[in-house]
Amino acid sequence: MMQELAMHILDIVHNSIRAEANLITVNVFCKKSEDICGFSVIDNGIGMRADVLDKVLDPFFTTRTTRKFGLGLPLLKMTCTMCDGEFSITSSPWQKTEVIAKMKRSHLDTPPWGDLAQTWMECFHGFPAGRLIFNFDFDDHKVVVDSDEIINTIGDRELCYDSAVLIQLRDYVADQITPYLREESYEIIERFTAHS
Amino acid sequence: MKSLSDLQRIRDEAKKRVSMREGNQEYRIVVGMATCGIAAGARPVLTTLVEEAAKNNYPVTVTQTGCIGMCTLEPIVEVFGPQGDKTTYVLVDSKKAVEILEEHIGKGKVKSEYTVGASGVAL
Repeated sequence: MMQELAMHILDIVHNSIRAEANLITVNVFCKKSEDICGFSVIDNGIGMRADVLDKVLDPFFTTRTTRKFGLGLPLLKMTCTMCDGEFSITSSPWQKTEVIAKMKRSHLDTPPWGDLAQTWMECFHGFPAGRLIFNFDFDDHKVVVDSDEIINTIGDRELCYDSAVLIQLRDYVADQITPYLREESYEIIERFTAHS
Repeated sequence: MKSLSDLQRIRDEAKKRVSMREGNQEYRIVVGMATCGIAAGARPVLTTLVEEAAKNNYPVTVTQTGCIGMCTLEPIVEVFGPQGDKTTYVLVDSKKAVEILEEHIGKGKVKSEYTVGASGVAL
């Protein structure tokens, strides 16, 4: 199952990659003042007609032919509902398909973030054909990771997908977001200690 | 590494390493990363493959794909040889991934006990 939000993000981004998008934007957010956390994934891929959109949350529906059900979106919706959050999905084919998942930040069942830098690397690595923008918005700590900027800096698209370079890129993203995540994990520990 | 400009420094080093490999026959490794793969633990497998390939400079490109169609056997790792031959490894974990790289990519020997054929599942 999906024990971490990082795993959910990777899973939803894979839907966008399969939808032949060439631009995927991932917003990862946490707002202490509103007690929410979550993420949204926006792509410009093939999208879904209204009748398909009605069915995507049914676990026994999928458009793929390799198996008979799709669990990614239903699992995410379940996590949101379980954690006093909100889930929505909207789509205009080839323009904008958006999945928004929000959870109550202080809810005991809200999954931890998990390894977001790793997820960034996996999304980047799995989407060599397009542009991937990750916006991390943790209260006042904002970080934007744009694949175009990274590829331009390296100066060679193919080289970015070399194993050794990928590891370095992951560590670069980790350096950008770790200060916040460390703070966040202390709070989670405190939260659990307070409840036990 | 704290800033994007630091990335430029690793570029030349990476170029040199990649050119060292040229002429070697390239393998391609594909990891299934759909919901089934992720839930079964494909993430640490992918990480291990990328990290070990980088460490040992194996002549291999690691890529991802969606659902391969045998969800109960995830994590699945497919190895495509230089001649286009395909080997499908199933129920892979990080430890098995290291062995597959060492034996299959390093020595050119198929790690047959981890293949789908050896898993005993009728296809």
